[in-house]
Amino acid sequence: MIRWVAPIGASRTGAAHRRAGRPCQDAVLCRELRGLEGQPVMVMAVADGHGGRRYRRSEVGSRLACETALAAVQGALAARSLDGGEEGWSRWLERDLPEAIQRGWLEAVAAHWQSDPGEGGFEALLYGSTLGLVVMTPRWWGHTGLGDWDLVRVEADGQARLLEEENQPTALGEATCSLCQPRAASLFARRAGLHRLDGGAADFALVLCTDGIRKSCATDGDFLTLAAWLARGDGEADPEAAGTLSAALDRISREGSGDDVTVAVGRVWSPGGGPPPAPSPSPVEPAPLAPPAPHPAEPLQAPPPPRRHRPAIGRAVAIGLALAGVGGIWLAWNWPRSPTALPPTPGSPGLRAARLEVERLCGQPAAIPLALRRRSELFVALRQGRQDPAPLKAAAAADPLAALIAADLPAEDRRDGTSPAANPAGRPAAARPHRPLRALGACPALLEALDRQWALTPAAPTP
Amino acid sequence: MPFPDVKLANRPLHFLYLCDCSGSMAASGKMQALNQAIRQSLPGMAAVARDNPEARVLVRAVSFADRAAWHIETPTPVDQLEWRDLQAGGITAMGAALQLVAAALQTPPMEVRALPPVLVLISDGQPTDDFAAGLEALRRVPWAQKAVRLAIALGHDADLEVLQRFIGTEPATAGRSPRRPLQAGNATSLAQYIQWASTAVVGAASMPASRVSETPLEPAAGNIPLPDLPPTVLDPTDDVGPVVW
Repeated sequence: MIRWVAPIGASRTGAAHRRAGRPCQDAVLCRELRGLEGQPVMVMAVADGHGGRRYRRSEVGSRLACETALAAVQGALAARSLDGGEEGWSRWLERDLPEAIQRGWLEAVAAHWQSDPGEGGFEALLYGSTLGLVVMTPRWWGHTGLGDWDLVRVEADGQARLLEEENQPTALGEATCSLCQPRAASLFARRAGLHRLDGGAADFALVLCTDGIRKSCATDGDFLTLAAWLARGDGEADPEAAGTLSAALDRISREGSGDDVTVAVGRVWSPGGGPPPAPSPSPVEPAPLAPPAPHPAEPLQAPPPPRRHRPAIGRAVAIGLALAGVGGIWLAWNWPRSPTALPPTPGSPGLRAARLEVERLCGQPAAIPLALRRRSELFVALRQGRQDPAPLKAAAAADPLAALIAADLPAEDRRDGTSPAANPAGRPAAARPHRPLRALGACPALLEALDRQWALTPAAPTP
Repeated sequence: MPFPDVKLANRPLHFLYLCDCSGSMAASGKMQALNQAIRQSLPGMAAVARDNPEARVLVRAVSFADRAAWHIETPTPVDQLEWRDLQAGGITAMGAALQLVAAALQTPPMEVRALPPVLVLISDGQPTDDFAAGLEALRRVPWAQKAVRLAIALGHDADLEVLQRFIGTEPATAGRSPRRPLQAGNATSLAQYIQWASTAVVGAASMPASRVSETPLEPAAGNIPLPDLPPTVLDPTDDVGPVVW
């Protein structure tokens, strides 16, 4: 099993943009997540907003691209075991994840426009951005994205190799693929790849950067040398490392392309090569665009261990339904949740995504059973207590169906080995009058299909 | 850990003039006006280059008459450029000029990290060779597709349709008309257009915003947005002198 050092990253306003008084249109986000079985999973994302009059909100678009990507990865990690087949994860990088990201990003930028409308009508083009994403697990690492980002692998001896670049004849000059394109999700596959890890493999680092860095280098040889230096820099783990990185990025832009410059570095932890991974690394992330409202009925400190003493959902639902309007829906939706999870706020992209998913499913009731059967593993994980529903609900914008299933987890669900037929989860819909999904407008067909799927889902075995 | 020994560099911005040197350019002082306009524009172009140190403005020029030839073959930094006068005489091998430029825009020698080039075609007549073949050769080159292409028509004999085909068709966008060849009726307006191309356009191309690329399924979203023309050029009531060509 490979361990990864928590990735670090930095994003700096380009020299030309600074001179022109323009904001940084790049974004970076690095975070440590957890797999279904608790394994540490490192994620780093970089995004490059297109800038210019046509894409005048792209500094928001790039930030939302990173946030949406992280949420989509989080949603998938919460729903699927990392121990499962790598082929499935490979397909996820090529297809499922891109779809979740594009869907979430479009919703997020639309929500941003709604909260802060500008002149003219809304167009996703205004927020156009690229996205590069690397996911690092103990057994494999993978990349996906679209646009003009570069990914370099640097070996322990400093040898650097360009693994990924935008290699499209149409992407010369400043042209690049973008999340704002209607078929953006289909463009990820050519930039996606999964790499298995051998436990005895030598250490290496991954350097993910926006195009401003490579375009600042006279040759690709210079770029690889620079990438190797950037990869080594993070290993110092000293308090000045971040400042050194920022200063280096400023210099690269000033003496090079003048463009915004962004880099994220992930590194395999070597027992003899430096300090072990920090247990709680400081994530590098942009300031949230709209901080989530604190939960009205739950303190933010002293989070209880997940699944140890979950409050009864019936009480929460009763409270939620007692409250009128969206706030009530939100409360019903989010109770119970982990205090560390980011809940969908009233009117948030997540809640809207969940509503839309309910509408979509109820619009095609015949397709509901199959859609739920495809998530049977998630039903099992939730019911057996291996999956906390809170992160799934928090990531509703990225995977609304998983969020709906998590929200519908019966309060009386128990891990005592009760047979499905006798389990309250298998009761008819009428026997579960207080369900959060009702507040979202769920139709009887959806509620009944969920009941049937819960009934088919085995509970945790008796200890 | 000290910064590594790597060469950081600004990005080349290739600016190419394609100048009609056919015999008709000798009439009414057109050739002289063109030489003067380009020469006078150089200080302004150099100033823009200084203001945008992230771009390295490199100028080249092709002349075409009986045949096409490089007038300035080596990409020359604008602050080192000394303009030698073009001479008029012959017919209009415009297609051959496009072929010449198409070959120069191949990668290599064009650097992958270059900024989109700027191509300025100036003509007072009609091509006498296979213009379509030259244009097709140019269109096949990705850098030419990404280039900012401008055309200046000198006088009423210029073939506007040909010049329009060179710059391509770009639909009207919000608040902007479709791009058309610029029409210069005298030395003053020619000088203004050349000045605009060598300063405002170079400035815009030096610090471009990235843009969405075309895909097999989706059309291109357009090249570098051009800056507005100066008001004196846009407004026909402004005094830019009489139409003499």
